Amino acid sequence: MVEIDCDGLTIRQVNCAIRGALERDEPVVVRNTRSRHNLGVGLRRPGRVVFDGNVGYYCAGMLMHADVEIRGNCGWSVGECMMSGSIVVRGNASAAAGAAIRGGTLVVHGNAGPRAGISQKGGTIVVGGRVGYMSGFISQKGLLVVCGDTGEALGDSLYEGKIYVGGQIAELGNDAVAAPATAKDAALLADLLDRYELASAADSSRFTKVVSGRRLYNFDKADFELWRVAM
Amino acid sequence: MCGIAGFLWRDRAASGPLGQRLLDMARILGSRGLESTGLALYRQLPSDRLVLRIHVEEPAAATEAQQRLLERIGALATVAEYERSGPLTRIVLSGVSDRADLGFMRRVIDAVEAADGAEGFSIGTAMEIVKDVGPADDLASQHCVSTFVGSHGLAHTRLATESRVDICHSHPFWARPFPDIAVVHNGQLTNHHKLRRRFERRGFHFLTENDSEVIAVFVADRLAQGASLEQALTDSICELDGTFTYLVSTADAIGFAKDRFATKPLVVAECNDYVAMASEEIALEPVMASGCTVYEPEARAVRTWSR
Repeated sequence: MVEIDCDGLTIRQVNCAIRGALERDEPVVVRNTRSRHNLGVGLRRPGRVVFDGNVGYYCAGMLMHADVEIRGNCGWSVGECMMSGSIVVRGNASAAAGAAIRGGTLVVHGNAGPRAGISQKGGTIVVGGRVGYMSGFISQKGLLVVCGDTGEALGDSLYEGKIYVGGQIAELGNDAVAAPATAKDAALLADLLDRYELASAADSSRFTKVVSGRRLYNFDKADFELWRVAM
Repeated sequence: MCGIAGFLWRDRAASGPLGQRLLDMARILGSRGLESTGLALYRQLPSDRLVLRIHVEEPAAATEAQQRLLERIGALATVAEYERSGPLTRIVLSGVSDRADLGFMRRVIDAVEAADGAEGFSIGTAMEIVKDVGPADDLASQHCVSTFVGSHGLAHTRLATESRVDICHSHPFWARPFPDIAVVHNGQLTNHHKLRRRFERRGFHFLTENDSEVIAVFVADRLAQGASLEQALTDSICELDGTFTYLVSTADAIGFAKDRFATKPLVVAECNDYVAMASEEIALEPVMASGCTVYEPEARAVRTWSR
């Protein structure tokens, strides 16, 4: 096991030390993170990395293969553009958690902020608490599971991403429609919640599924009724 | 981007190294904007005193301008203290009989600005605004704020998006002519021209065309109409259009408001003795004690703390 103390190191030095440890197949614990930005970006090898404290913006961005744990809160855009691997945030995530991820799994045990899962292109995001304004915005693919409540404009302009909500939805976004979850959905959710230790966060049989109404991204300009409504 | 920060000791009798605290936060927030740095610092003065912070523009004419300034101000009240640091002049007036008299504040500002090349940056029974172009270290070395002992205050680091980079357009903005009210703002309003015209028609005068100055006057005007600070901030969420997270400070309180989209960040750390807030959690590191509750407010959030 490698222990890295961030105090006195630049972010570049910290990240090089993390990558070096992963190359040697050694698990890593990073201490004195002090909410600093850009910790653990661009990791490309399997292995285990623990950030023992709060981290700032863009932690574990562009992640591939590794399993990352943040023992605290994180700032904006945790795991942005993740391709594979996993990130577990024990505390709260700030805005744009899991922005534009293409694969892998992001789990936030606490709350996530506004724009959680914005422009998601694959992968899975699970939030034990609530999410903020316009979460799931333009989600093209993948899964966003929210055990708690959501803010306004949930799933605005959804493509084919799917959102499941265990709590109250403050407001659905443009072209986002709610449907009751099926038994198959409930089984999927139960498995996810159990796997990431969130089973107590919500009853998987009571989730609302939110999907695209498919009228915004399949806009037919000859549909004059739509123009009339829009104007 | 801009960085904003605030700090308040909660006990009415408490004060501390406010200048150093705010500078420490501003230094870290310099990554969000290095063009200007500014502080609003609060330290209660004796009941007959007002403190003025004045910008005197042209170094070449500064001596004459300062002389005219002192003459005009001296006609309204006794000048008890006077000092200059670069483009900023600090004057303390004594023998002020009614510090709630807005008409007197307007006469003082008129006297300041009748002296060519001078602009009033703040008037307060406790508040002083110290701001300048450049990063926090420049502000500290040029304006002696690191030793300021006070009760609460605001800090701002600027990345200009909407008006020019100079000392007048730096934050914090004073809510002219209301004493002790200042605002720091991260974001960009879209309806500030309309709001400014509305206030100008009612007799308000603005130092700049900057959107953030309008926020300061908006809040102060609501307070003057009898609203609580919390209500004024809540009203602003509907009335202001654009992106904003802003902090406002008064003689004995600090508050924040976030827009409905939560576009701009804020993290708050609270403990029994004080509350601190900043655009980024990393800026709270020097002032956070263990045992602080740290959280990020949501869209449309409003919160105030009074001493």
